[in-house]
Amino acid sequence: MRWLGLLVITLMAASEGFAQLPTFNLGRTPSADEIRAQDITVGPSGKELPPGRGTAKEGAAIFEKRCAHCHGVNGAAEGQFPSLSGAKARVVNYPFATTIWDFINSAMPRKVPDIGTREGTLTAAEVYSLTAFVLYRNNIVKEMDVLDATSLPKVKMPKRDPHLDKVAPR
Amino acid sequence: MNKNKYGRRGFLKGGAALVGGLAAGGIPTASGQEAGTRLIHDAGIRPLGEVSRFERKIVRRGFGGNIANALTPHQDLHGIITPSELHFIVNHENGATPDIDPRQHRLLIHGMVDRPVELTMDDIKLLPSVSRICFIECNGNSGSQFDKDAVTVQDIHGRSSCAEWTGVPLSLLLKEVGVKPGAEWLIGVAADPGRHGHSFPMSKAMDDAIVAYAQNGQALRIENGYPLRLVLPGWSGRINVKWLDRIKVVDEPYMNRQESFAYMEQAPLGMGAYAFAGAKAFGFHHESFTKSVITYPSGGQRLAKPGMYQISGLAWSGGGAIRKVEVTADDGRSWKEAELQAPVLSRAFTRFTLGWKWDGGEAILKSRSTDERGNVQPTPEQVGGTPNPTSPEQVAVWGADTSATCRNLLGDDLCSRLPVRAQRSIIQSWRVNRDGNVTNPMPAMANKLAAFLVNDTHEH
Ligand code: HEC
Repeated sequence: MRWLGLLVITLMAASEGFAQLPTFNLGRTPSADEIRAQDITVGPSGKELPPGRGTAKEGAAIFEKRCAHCHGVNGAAEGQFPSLSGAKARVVNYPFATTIWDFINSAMPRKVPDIGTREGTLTAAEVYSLTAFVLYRNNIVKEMDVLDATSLPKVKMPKRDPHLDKVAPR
Repeated sequence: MNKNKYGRRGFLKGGAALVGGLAAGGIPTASGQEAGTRLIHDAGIRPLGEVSRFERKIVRRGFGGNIANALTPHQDLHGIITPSELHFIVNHENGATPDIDPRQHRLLIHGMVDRPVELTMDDIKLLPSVSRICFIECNGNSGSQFDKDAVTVQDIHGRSSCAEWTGVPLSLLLKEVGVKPGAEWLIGVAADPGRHGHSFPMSKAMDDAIVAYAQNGQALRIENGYPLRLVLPGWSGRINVKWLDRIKVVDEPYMNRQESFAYMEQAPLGMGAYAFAGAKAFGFHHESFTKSVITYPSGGQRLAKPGMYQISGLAWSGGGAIRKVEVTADDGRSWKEAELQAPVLSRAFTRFTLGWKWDGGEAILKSRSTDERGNVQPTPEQVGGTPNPTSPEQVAVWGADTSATCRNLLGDDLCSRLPVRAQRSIIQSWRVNRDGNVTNPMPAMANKLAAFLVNDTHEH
């Protein structure tokens, strides 16, 4: 019994040592869930993409409600907010569609206290739908194409340089 | 000794009008200050140093209507350190600046590491620290050189500042958390509403990157990232992530939004670094090219009369220390080497000076810097075309990217053909007119350089 207690204490001490910067004994080890909650950064491989799915058709309705008052009807804004479709849209120049997902998810809709919009409030399915909608308005996907964690990283953006694979194979 | 200097009699002697003036509310000058020397009677301790009433016009200003941009007034500053309250700011948040409670702030380091960790500000300050003087420059700095509304050094080159930054070397933190094999890149993420993030290579992180909490001896200013930011000496401002709350260690560049829509103009192949994005190569064009600018005399200033002047200016390079600055007062017909004031530090502002006699005629002043790699600041004509890595002339002028980062990632052949970023380091001219007014003559060249300007995809 006694030695068991000792073992538990030793194990605890070991895991506590592990839970900190080893040389300086500072900091705290976040749990996997805590990290997942904060890690909203999605890269070109899409490996961080959460479950969920959506189409441009579903995205259209969400866009009208939560995005159009800044980005214009169908994303064709002319004024101070970036245009998301048409000649002036920058999003078509992004080399990877995952970037659109990442930005909508982490930073949109921009906070407007008066109408209750706030970044970080969209569900994964809504973000897939909105990404699909933006891509659809730029003729990159079709209205009923389903975007999810598997299909989104495979979307071929028009401006992804043709030399990419030659110079730096993925 | 000077017992009477500020006494009653001193005032009477030094500024007869003022003694009465103080009591009666002073004599306002055209600029609204009270004229003349006076004495401040303090009841107690003065908690913060005060700017003289004669210097209060020296402030940050915007240019081009973006309220989130505030530019450094280099034309009125001295030495190499930008006072913290005058350090430039460029944000994409249209004025939404996070005002963070340091007691709640955490830095999470995670991703491809053995021991993810969450650190408080107190934790971070218990670690061994470094202090380093270096400049931070926005990618868009100097881009308004050809804009007819751009008059002063501040308007054109005010998106670059130099400070002493104190914090923990990022390399120390990475050794503590243990980087996994294959982890070649990092992403710094901000606690701002746009969740600004940016990728940078492990080589830079291990070389000289700092997780900084102090600026010129004090906690960071709010707008400069309080309470924590990344400082990547010599690398574009946008990667020096402010309000830093997360570092994710990854295998490839993550193409965050600002890496995706702009800032690629210095990269080769038109659409620029897209050619390499998603793969390993991304570090090679984030360095500021060598640049210099005369801050006195400069646009908007006026020389009172012909005579001796001390030309003064700043030079810097993301590639290391400044080796040489040359100055011309005859539009490039003859160049003279300026004196570099100590200290001359790697990736920091370097102050240069040169005595000059103005004879009262029209004069075009320019400066041209050379850094320790031998890169020379280019003329407008040299970079006046579309970047083309296959053009031997352009590469010859711009220099190839010979950094270890590039060579390791892409190999010698490709790097020798990649022009490093030079477009925004074009030599600045100032015209001293016969009446002594100094103006920016560069907008007149804009037509000639139309190709360059059209090709400019940068957004502020
Ligand atoms: C309150 C206004 C506002 C609302 C509402 C809003 N946005 Fe935005 N959006 C912005 C601003 C401002 C930017 C530019 C941000 C910057 O430059 O940092 C932006 C940028 C974007 C971009 C990147 C565009 C580019 O050119 O790089 C995308 C994509 C986007 N928004 C999608 C959305 C979607 C989808 C919604 C609805 C869920 C939405 N936005 C709601 C203001 C808004």
